[in-house]
Amino acid sequence: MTTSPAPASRPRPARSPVAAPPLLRVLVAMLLGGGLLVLVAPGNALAASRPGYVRLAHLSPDTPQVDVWLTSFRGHSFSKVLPGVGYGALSTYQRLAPGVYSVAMRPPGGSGSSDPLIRTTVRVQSGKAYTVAGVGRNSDLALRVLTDDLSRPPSGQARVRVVQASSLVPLVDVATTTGLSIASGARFPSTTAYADVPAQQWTLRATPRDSSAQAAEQTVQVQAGGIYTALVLDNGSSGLQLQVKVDAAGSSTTPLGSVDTGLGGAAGLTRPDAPSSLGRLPVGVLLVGLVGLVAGAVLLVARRPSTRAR
Amino acid sequence: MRSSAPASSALLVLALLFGATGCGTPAARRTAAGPAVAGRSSALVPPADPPTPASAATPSASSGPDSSSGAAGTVPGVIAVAPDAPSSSAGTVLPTRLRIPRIGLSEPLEQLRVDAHDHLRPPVDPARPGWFPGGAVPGDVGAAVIAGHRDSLRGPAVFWRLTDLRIGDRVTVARSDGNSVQFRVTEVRRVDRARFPTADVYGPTPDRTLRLITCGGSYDHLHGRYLDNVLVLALAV
Repeated sequence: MTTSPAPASRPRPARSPVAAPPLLRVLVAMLLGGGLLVLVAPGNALAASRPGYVRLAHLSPDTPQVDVWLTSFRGHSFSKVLPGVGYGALSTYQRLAPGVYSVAMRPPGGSGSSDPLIRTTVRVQSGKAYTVAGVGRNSDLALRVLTDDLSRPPSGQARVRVVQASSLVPLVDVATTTGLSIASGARFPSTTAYADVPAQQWTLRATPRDSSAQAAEQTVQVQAGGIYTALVLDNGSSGLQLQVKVDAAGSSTTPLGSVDTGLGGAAGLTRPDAPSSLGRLPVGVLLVGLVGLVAGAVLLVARRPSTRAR
Repeated sequence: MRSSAPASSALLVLALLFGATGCGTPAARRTAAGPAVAGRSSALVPPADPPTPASAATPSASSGPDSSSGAAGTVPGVIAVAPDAPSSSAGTVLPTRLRIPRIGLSEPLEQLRVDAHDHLRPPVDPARPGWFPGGAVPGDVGAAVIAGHRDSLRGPAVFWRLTDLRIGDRVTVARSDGNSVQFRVTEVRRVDRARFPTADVYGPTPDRTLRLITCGGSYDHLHGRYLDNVLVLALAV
């Protein structure tokens, strides 16, 4: 409520030089609008091409059933729930646009806005995969974001890693029954590095280091190009349990280079071509944005002498 | 000052004119020219044509009831628990037929081979698409690869019209186990054959994807080959 030095300018804003702010606002809006069009349009065009992936897990042995929610951090444009899962549950991967997501564990049946037991955020990057797992004893329950490596295994091989979520024993070894080691001394709660294994049918065995608990075995058909997670769990009666999940599957052999799928018999005919990586940018929208930018800039420059003259 | 006022209002009019054009053009183009017409009149794929970008970017990864990625306020989509890895190799399931309604294609599939130099051989019959048995069976987790000729020695071949596909279009693959798997196109892209994106096409994926491949770009008469490949990426629904 301080007195303005030029209150008289208000009644006639159209003519007075003090009316510059509204005009400037238009210009700035146009500049921003033009700029945003330029910036936003290509982003949208490319967004769909490389998603990220998130899956959810309940790996806390003494934590009762929960709903696990996966929600986009802003705007709630994405919200899904893994309902009523207990210890040992691992979800399928969710394909997501890159961005920040919230993961929350809630008592079963609660709404998405109810108070979570625990919550964390995960920044999903293009082409990357994550497992968000509730780990540890219930008393120190924590949501941990594990980075999953879904890149191609060596030719003819698969990759297997161990998630040690059994609280019965501190250290677990996982190996094939033929003696090929997958993980040595995996500690609760932790995840190991990936081990390359030849593609074939294996029986995996999880053995506790101190042998107080029963060992567990699981037979799995390991496919070349595949990526697997072996989950070591409590079996509920002082023994271990082993579950093997397919994280991703790739080609068993990878052909080199491109595919020669044209013989040239129609090379003389015109055919609308698919957009190349560069051609994906919507040129029309870009042009409109540029015109906005130029017009805005021209106006700003045109304004400048007059404001100085004042 | 006085003289600058008319000048600036003239500029303002100009700006509004540009502004109006700026707002009007994309919208007008989208409503006046339908997706098919817009697609045919230019080489560009309007990225947001049939589905919204959000729904194209975040479809559910698995089948069943979790097909909606419900927004807040509505019932949220359900995430499924991952099944265990199979303990033995399943019986041999083969894809039998490819259907692409948008371009009126329905053809049986042949099996592709890899030559002695590890290159993927195109189908023997230019009128038929071929499936790469080293990749996933369409509908299983992983990347299924189907290639087809753009043209034969005489003229257009089975994938001649592949570039007409748009994001959101349906592709169906029938399998020998009686299942028919529906896919939705997520991307149509032309790539330089010298820089073929091997990892994007053959690399591991956690969801059930399909890659259709044909030739595109200009034809090199000297070497008798097209310079580009056209890739259509699709995701099982």
